[in-house]
Amino acid sequence: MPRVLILEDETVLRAATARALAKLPAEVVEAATLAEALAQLDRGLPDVIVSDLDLPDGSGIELIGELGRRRARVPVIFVSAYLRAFRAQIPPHADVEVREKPVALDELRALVRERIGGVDDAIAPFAVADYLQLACMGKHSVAIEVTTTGKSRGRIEVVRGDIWHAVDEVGPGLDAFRRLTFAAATEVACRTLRGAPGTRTIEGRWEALLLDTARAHDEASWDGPAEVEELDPNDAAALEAALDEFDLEGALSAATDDATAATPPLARGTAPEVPRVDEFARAREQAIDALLGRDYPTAASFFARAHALRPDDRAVAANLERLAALGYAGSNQTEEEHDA
Amino acid sequence: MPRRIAVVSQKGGVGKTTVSLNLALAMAERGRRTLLVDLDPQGGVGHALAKGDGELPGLADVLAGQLAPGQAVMATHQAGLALLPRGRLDPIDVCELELWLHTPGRLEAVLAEADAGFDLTIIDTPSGLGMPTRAALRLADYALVPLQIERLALRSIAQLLRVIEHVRAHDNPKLELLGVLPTMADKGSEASVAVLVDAWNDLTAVLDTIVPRHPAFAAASEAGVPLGFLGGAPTPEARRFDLLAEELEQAMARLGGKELGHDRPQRALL
Amino acid sequence: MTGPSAPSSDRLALRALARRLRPPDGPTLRAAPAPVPPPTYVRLTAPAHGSTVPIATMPTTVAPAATPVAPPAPLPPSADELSGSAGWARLLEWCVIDVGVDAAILTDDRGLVIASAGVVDLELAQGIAARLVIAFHQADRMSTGPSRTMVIELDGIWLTGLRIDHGDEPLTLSVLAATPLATETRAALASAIAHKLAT
Repeated sequence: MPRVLILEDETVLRAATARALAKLPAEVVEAATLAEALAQLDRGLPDVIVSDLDLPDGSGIELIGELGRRRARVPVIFVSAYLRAFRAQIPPHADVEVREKPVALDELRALVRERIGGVDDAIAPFAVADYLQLACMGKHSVAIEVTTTGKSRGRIEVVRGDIWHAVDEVGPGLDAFRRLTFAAATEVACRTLRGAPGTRTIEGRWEALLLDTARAHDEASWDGPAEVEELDPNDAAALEAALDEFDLEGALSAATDDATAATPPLARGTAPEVPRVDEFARAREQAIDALLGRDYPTAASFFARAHALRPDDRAVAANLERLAALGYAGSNQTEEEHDA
Repeated sequence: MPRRIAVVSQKGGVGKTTVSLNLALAMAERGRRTLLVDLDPQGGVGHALAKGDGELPGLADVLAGQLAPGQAVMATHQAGLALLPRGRLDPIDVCELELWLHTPGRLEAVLAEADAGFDLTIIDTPSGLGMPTRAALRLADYALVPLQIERLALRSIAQLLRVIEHVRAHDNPKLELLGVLPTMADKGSEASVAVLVDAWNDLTAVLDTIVPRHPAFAAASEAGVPLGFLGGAPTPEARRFDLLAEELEQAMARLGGKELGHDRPQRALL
Repeated sequence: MTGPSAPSSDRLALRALARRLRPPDGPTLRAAPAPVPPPTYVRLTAPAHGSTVPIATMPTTVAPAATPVAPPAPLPPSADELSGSAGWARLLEWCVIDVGVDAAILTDDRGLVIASAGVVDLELAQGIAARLVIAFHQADRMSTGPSRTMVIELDGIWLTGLRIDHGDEPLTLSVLAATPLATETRAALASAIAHKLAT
């Protein structure tokens, strides 16, 4: 059965959301803190996550980082109280949806239901620019660590929604920020920044900084003369005008596509674990079909396969147990072949 | 003829008037021409709007023969939202008002004139199961029941539901329970959740929207305005009533009947 | 299913009253609600205004609740929607969301779960479903033909069981709800499941 993880620290809201989502054919699991949610991830990956962005022990964005680290693609629906103030939109990303609180529960249920079916194959991984947008819009403090395809490492720090500092192997500051934001990356990790922030090496509004960098990146990838018009991050009027004119969303998604395209074959070997989710569902389907056909040995064997892929699915585990009690021991097919 | 929602509860202090006022505003903002009627002899809506007892003419003035029902309806600064206040009732005449409400047909006649051009009428009532509540239920299409999320409230809601069932069976067959609205929920409280879970199990029409405790409500009350009219940074709590309005419109559609706003008479533009 | 404590008679009365007044969302369970003895009241007649006639008291007669005229039962999803392995989940989801039951579990004749929806405590629900299968086996012995439907009032909740033919061994659908499942809904469900098995 698909599983939905709800991460929300407000007790009443968490209970109300769980109740609304329990009406779906899915198992609902709750967490009140980031730590609890990460523990749930250890127990088994959910199919969909509904999460608040602001938690007592960190930011919901860390979940994305954690999923990336596990090479897992799980759609996430963020719900946050603080989105209204921002004009800029989160770049369209099939894995992430953001809603402002309060959200109508039946709308949330519809969103979750759409995503229960599984993950679309052709999705770009979450990129640096995406993390930046989320962190800045939500006024979080995070450190984004980037490993590029050239194996060089770098780091961008956001403090309370302001782009604060960036450093890579070449040096610190705005240049590092520009290099890292649209670099072709093999690994991007995002962690909550704790403790007092260090020296600030980057000034200016985040929208302007992203816009500026996106334009530079965009123009640098043309064949024509690279005339990058430098914008003064502190000139509010010029920035407003430029923002109005420029298609930030378009530039960012184009840049994200570039980042993906630049990933060499070696990195694809470490691509997100989409097959895992599909394999479990498929094994389970085959088990049910066998069950309906009364082929219990086959059913047991497919349930065993599904169980191995997802040990914490209780419905599968229970059926496996029951079949064992009936005398049909399930084992992975490979073992059976080995024995035979 | 407008749809009429009676906002009723047995206990006091559950947020009836707050809900009536903010819901009426949200409905008006959605384009529904809304009349908010204050059936509370104590004049709860007037107090919520920081008006003194003798300030707003209304129902009492109609009873006294000084105003026609249409004249007692007053416009507000929100387009589409009008108010029929309790009126300048002398406290010693509360009994008279209640007896008048108890007499069948009296309130119906006045309200029919007053809310003729509206899409929706929201009737705020005093707490309790007495005459004003009964009168409102007799002529309403829907009952909306705010339920304070605490143990005692859940124990006593059965009494109100029994009255609603009785009115439906004997006086007003079209009356429907539109929904039970959890209010004053303590967001972080496990005890609140326990009461909510019992409400979900025992009752059927519990709405998804939950109105939490929040300082914005006290601030708005203090200022004598609905949440949406409070100065300063807009509070997300005002949006909650937009969600409530949406949810209630869906509930009304599910319970059958036309959508709000379809009864418009033909108008000439020029 | 939720809390461990048994509901008091007050709570049962509240549940019955709430469901008479407003059936769970969606036009649904039309069956008569569980007969719960109403509280005892005295009845008053209102005195004429200003009169000194004493208030008459009458012994308890609680008027029977008017049976609400329920709208017709919702149609189950089409054969198209129910096709494929996801169809089981879709059908049970229809039960929970459209029909308004609390939980639905479909098992084979050995208690193995094929699909479920609305279930909060899986272990508990599976236990109930498995025992229902056994109860059907017992019921089969009460007469010559197989038994098709069973309705059991458990503590605070109604269990409706449906048997659906499937070759030698039937499937069993267990439905938990505040009232028994209405006849039309049962028929619609059984028919939808049978169609799906045939394809």
